[in-house]
Amino acid sequence: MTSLLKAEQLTVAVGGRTLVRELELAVAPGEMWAVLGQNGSGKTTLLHTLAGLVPAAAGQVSIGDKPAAAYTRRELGRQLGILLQQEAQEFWGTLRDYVTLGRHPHLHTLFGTDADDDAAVDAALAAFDLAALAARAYQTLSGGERQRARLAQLWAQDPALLLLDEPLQHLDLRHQLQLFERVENVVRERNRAALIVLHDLAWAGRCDKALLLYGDGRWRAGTAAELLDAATLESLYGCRLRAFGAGADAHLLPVI
Amino acid sequence: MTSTSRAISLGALLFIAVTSLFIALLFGSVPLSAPQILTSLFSSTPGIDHDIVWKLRLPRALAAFACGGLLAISGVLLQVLLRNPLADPYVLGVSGGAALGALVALLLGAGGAAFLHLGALAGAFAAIAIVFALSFRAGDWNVHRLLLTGIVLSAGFTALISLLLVLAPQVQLRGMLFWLMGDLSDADNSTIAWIVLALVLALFIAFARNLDVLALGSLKARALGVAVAPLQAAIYFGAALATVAAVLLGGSIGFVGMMVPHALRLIGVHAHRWLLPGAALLGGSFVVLADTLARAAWAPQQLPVGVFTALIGVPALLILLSRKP
Repeated sequence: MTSLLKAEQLTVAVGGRTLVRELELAVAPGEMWAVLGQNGSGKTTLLHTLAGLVPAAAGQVSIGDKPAAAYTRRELGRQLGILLQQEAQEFWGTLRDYVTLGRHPHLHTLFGTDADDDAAVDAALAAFDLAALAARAYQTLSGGERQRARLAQLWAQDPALLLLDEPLQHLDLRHQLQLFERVENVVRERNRAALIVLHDLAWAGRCDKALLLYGDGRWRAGTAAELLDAATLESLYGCRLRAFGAGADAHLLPVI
Repeated sequence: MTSTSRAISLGALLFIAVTSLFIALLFGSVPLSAPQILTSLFSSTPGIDHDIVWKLRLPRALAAFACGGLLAISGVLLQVLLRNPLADPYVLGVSGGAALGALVALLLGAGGAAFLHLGALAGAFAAIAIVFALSFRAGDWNVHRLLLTGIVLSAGFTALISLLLVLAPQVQLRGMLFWLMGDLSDADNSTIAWIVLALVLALFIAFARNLDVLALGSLKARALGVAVAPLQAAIYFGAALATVAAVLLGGSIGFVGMMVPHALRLIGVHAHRWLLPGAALLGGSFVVLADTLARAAWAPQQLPVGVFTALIGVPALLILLSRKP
């Protein structure tokens, strides 16, 4: 099966410092990837590079069977969507207006939206428990509600590949669970793929693949089963970890 | 805001626009009653009333409207581009350049109005080119650099303008000050301004949805499928063109470009396909009313309209801001 996203010899650098060197990555439909690494190890910059928001220092990104550069911005917006870690807080419209902006790459009328767009927006709002808040001014939403609004916007955009930069921030436990269910749902049932930047190892364990970034150019990619063990993660995070619980329920937590 | 209430708002703005134009026709050195005005407007019988309405008051009112509409649209565009609510048509140094060019032309004194316009135009285009050349990098246009370049250049123009004012002979000082404060007393032919207004408005209403997305930030806009760099360049030149057209007509009329977009957002108009026409209507009406006051308040002496846009605008915006959300 062809991969949804492929990175070849991809090098990511910020301010002259190489964070990821010659990354080889192939993301296939139906895969959920956890992207792990210390602060400043290049997780966000890698996601931005894969999304084509910033240029790569070297190497190539392909979407489907074409290089990313061969797509127009609008086509790319249908293939690949990104949840940004930080974004502007200022928006004057309602929550529904905000989520509707996610349909931008799909719109083909000069003004307004068609029935498909409205249905996608309704579904996205419902998926994140936001239907009741749809008419509220975006400015009046809480931090967690805004995070869900951003997710709903991404769901309305409905891309084949989801790049999620710390999607759990501001979310309460129930909505963390809800988010993972939604992601698993689109990935498994609609053959999409997701790359998720995480700091919570419990959630990382629900992904099937993992990409570890060491921040000095080194990286490791593989199945979650082979990479998410205490020894590997201790060297990744530079702190000691201990397993609590046993078997499938074991959680790794830092120890003093 | 639902689409019905939006339509009502736009209808109300249209009504305000027509009313403001009619009020402008009512005031002047020759007293004319409302029926006389209406008769002159809709009949082709030549006569003194007809001439006053068609050749003096209407051109002036239309010029004021175009000026206000252009400045308000320019304000909307620059607030999106710079993602800064304080942006107004003058932050990019366009008006400073135009003012400097105009003052130099006034100081040299030759050729009259055409020469003045040419000077202003040259100054404005020089400012646009300098700011663009110094701040634009295709693919990664840093709007902070753009804003700072504009502000720094404006400061330079302000210094040069002050220098010119100090060195200028007394007789020319008054004309220069009027130009700097915004003055519509010489504005009679606004055809070009109306054409620019229609073009810029049509272009950006067609791209209104892109502006909505860009308002969320350039990274986000790119992620949602907007070709950001060409759009930013188009906004920059569109706003600059609108500002130049307005400044050439009425000098540096302040406050319209910053206030009008905010006033509209505060009453709930935020989507750009409504915000742009709304701003043109409200900005136009606002300057028409301010100019009528400028003509009538101290008649027969005419005051600079820029003084009144600020005098009306400041309390209006303060009231809107202090309302509970």
